[in-house]
Amino acid sequence: MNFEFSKKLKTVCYILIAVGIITVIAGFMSGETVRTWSNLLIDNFLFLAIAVFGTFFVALLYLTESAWGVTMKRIPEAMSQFLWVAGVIMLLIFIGGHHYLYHWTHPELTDPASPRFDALITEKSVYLNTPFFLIRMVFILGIWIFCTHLLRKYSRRQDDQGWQGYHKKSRFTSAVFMVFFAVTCVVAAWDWLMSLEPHWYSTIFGWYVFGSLWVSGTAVAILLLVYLKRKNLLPNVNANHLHDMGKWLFALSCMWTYLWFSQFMLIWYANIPEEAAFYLPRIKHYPELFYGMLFVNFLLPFLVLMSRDSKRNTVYLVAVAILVFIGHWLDFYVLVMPATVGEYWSIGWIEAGILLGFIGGFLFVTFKSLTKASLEVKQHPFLQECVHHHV
Amino acid sequence: MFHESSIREPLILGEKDYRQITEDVISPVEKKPTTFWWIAISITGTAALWGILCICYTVGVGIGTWGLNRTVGWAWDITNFVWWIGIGHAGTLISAVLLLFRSRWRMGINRSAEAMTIFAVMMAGLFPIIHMGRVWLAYWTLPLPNYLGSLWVNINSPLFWDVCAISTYFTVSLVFWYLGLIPDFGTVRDRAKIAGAKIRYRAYHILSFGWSGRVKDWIRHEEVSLVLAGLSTPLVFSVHSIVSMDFATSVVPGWHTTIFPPYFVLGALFSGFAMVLTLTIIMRKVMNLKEYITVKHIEYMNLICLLTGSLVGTAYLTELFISWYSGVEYEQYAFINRATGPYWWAYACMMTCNVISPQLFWFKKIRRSIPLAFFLSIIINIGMWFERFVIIVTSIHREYIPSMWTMFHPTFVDVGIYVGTIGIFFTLFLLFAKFFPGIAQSELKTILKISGEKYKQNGVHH
Repeated sequence: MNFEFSKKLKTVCYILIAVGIITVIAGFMSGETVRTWSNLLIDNFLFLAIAVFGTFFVALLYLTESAWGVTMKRIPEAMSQFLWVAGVIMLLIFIGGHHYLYHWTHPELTDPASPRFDALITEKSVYLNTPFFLIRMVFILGIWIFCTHLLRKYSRRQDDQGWQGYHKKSRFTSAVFMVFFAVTCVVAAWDWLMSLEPHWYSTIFGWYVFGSLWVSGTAVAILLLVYLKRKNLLPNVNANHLHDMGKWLFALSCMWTYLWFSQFMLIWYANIPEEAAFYLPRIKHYPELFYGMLFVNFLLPFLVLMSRDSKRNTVYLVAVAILVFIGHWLDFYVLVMPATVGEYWSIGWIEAGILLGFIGGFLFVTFKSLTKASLEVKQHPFLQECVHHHV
Repeated sequence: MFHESSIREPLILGEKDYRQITEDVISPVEKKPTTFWWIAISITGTAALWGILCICYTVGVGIGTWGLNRTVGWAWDITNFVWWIGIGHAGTLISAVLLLFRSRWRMGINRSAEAMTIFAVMMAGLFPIIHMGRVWLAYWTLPLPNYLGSLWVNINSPLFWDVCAISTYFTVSLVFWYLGLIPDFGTVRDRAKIAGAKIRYRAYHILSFGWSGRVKDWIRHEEVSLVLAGLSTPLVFSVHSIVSMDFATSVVPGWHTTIFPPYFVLGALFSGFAMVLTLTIIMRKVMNLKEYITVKHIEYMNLICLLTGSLVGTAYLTELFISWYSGVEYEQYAFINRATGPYWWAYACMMTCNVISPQLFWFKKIRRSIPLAFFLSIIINIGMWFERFVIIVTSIHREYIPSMWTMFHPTFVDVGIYVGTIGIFFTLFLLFAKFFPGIAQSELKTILKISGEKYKQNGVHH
């Protein structure tokens, strides 16, 4: 059964993309340059994370020999196809906006003769310099896109030619991807987000961003799953499979909070100026978002998804998934904005427009790739286990 | 309807039926202990006695008998404490987290892993208590009213959080373990009744809490198991996170780093699984349980060691990189000193045993080889002991003032107590293996017709 990308849906996507593009142009023309670049970074990173989650999730299913997710495998596969779009935009953001976003790219900071000379950034310039940064970015994105491509290719061939051989290949590719991903996702978090504040450092930061990536990707996968299920396109996905996704959303919200708390509590407790410099502006100027985020990302999913019934009920599940998606947009917003626009923030048309643009672009690529392969997985050694799965 | 793919390896080998499983698991409890068991318990008992003597000596004379000095106030004892707590992690992960993940392979090993957890946590708890010096005042760590002579605890102190976390963990693990034992005790009791063994019948009658095996009992049993699994899962994470906060809330370079909580948890799972490997490999051979603890079980555990070992490795590298990236010279020095200072050999040992050696498990032949898995599991536990030693001692043996610089030299009491806890631990484990059913046989029976070799071959699905 293939997904049909209706004309109506396409038009909606086009309109959303147009809104995004117009907002970016209007943002630059209205003089809100830094704010526009920051929003591009926030939204692009969020959707890049959601896309790479797709590959991560498929690889995880293969490596753990999980059966329960086999019949919904096409959804994370389709999500991962947005990776190359987000990758290209990431490169463009750095090339176009590095002076507005990444403070350390200013050459005078490492020039001893300059009045703005910064000894700490000069010391770090072995690592934080434009060419090396770009090389790392291209390398990381290249590996992610390459493994995504291979996994997708094997998965489709497996449907036509039987799982023998391809299952083993997929497992191998998944293992290779996981090894690289474990290192590169941490480096990506340091480079693309932590270096926004080049003086600040935290060892848990990479794992924290990985937590955000996993939970926001799960939320989006649930939304797509319910959408396709409502269209009767996934006959082999039932309440038991939704229940498992709900459990993941519940567990990952807790995991994200655990990582958030580990970083926050240790820095708050030790109260060393170098480290506290990260939290002070956030607590002082962004208190609504900083604390509000915890309600949306932890308390609500925790309370709502606690019961078995709510995890099997699409209404509750969708409501929580939307909240978590917004919550992690806020998460990245609070990571990026204090480093770029400082205390002068507001959420208005620029934020809304660019986010809508990215939603449109992501949905367009995902739906397009859903049309290209049958939604039903036909050949998989664990297919029968998944069809008969019950919790 | 359950269905299991034909490519999954069977988890119960041989021609087994329900009766045969009972026979294989329960009969060691009924028979007289083997010569091997007597030899083993004499050795571990001697070590335990020696440890108890050293503890008595410490309590009588004071902790001046240890190698601690003004600069290095925490060393061998706290290393042992963290090491044992870490080992005590795999049991609850296997029984709770793997239960939630519906991993069927946990059923062959969960009973012994849980027993290991309980004994390891007991050993861990010993160290902070004897380090207090006046062990008879240990109850002062609890929030008790001042008229009992104690002072109200300082709730800002991570040491107090530790008391709460570890006692909760111990209680929940113990209840979880015992809950699983009840139906099996019932089986031992019923068999004793038929055999006419009066003393055994009496003993297991009390232990089994009047288990009747009715459907109602089973429903309650399964419900409580699931609730306890839900409660224990956050505990797996909280205990070692809070242990890590004993160090990370300080401002000592090398201790204060935000990655500590998840990294300690991963390290704990790593060492915990290594210890489960050591114990189950011995158990499957000595008690002839090779058909229940199969090569596939060993392979799965080795894969978990590979995963957690590699993640611990990335945490080491993250710490190294960020210490440079921070630009803080004290932070940088702490790590340079670890790798190249007077304790470089401990650091090298930690890196080799914890990061490099598990990489061997990438090869299928190695991770399915029982002797190699046994050898590497011991290597990993040595490495994880050195990890805690490196973190604790190398971070504090250098102070801001060079006149405070010193080394740590353990005394025979330090070593004696450590060896003693290993002795007590293995003595308790041997007693467990003799008197308690070593495999959760009633639980294992639920997967016989799904994952049993005989049933898989016949293609019967239930």
